[in-house]
Amino acid sequence: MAVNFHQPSVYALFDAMPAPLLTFAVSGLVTYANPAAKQHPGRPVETMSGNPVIKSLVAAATLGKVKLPYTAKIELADGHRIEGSFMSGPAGLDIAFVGMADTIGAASIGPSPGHMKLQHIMELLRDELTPPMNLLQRQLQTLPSGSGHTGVELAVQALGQRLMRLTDLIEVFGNEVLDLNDRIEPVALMRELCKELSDRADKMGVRLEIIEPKQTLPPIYGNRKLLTRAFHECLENALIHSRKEISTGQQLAVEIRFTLSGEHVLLSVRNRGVSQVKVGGQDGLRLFVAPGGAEAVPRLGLPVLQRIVSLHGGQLRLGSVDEDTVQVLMEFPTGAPMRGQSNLDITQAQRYAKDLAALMSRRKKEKV
Amino acid sequence: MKRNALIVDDQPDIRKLILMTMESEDFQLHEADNGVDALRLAQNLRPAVVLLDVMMPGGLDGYQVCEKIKSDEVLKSNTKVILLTARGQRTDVERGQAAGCDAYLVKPFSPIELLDTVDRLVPR
Repeated sequence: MAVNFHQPSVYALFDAMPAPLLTFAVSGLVTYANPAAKQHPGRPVETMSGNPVIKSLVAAATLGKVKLPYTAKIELADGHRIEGSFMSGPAGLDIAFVGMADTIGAASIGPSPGHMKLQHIMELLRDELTPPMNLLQRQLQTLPSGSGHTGVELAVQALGQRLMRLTDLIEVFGNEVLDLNDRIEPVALMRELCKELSDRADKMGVRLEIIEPKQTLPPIYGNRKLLTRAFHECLENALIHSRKEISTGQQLAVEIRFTLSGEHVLLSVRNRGVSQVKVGGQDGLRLFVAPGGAEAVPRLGLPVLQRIVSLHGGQLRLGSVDEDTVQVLMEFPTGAPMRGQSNLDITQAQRYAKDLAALMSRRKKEKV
Repeated sequence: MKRNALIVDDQPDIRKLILMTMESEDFQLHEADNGVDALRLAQNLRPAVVLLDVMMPGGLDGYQVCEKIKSDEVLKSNTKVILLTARGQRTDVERGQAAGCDAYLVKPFSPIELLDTVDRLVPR
């Protein structure tokens, strides 16, 4: 990408091209436009230079996050649109855009849907939001200590967490196939997360308590990153709601319990409140399916949680035991993910069929 | 007297294929469709070889059954464990080795490969 050609010759060549050609700096601003681009009725120089989508795309391409060449349809001025390719520019880190075909009609700016993959959307989202977030954090660090900006700091952290949730949400609602082959030991994963959240829980006066299962639990086969997100959402929700409901300084507890039920692992997370309801008893638990209990979970967290659980073939139930106690119950199947839906059996049978002749001949030889 | 071989997989079709492959061999064949039954049968039958699926539902998965067999004083030296799995990544193989398995076959595996592995581990 960073190869430099003899600039005057290259630009003379570009000037002679009938197709519109523009180059962009990393900032997304146009650094060169050939006559065809300048004379284009859709005014691509004005429309594309500094456009936020182009800017993100150029930045992503420069960082190698978008593979070049990258085909896109761009909406220009006066209803014109142009289809072309982004590619490495002739100098430095510049990215070039070469228009291939242009039409008049409705179109949306940005890459054509066939090329805009979910991953790109997430990358663009991160690229767009991470710099201002970092800037905000840097600004916070420059504030004098003890100036009461802890609230702002927490707000920035919360914003960062929302951003992560948002990208996870996009991921789990996408159509791309998720890798569900990680082997996850649920108790160990929960222990890790409790440890991670322990400082925060201590500050909030909430104790995270894992009730160890009596028997060896089988692992869950799924996506570690997403299950971590689901467990995290659950704990986060329990922490927030424990404190919201009880405003006294009293120590509260969140009880996390794993049980094996047939071929399913059940995870129950309940905030026990100050009334300390009996542990593990079947004390009139009334479980109900969301969205009935949507108020109990932050808006963004609940759909993520539900989707992750359902992607793993599980079920999510929310319920309240009594005035103080809220329970989240997740049920995950154990064993191979998507059992019965995979074509593994077919491929195994095909492999056997292929080697059947060799197997028969081996047996004949053994008999002889 | 025929030696015992235990075939453990929650998918009946896979068990059938392995039974077909092993039937003319020098083994008395037994089967189980979950980890808990597999462990119980292994302790009772003391098989020469266990062909063990990794991703099984219920109480124990293949790695856990393998760990228990390999920590059993009676079984650990006399029972060879072959893990059968769709998971062929390096970390999975390492996980199998950590569980103490004697061999690791990735699905879809060839019947010849299966027989060769059995022959290598428990020669006639």
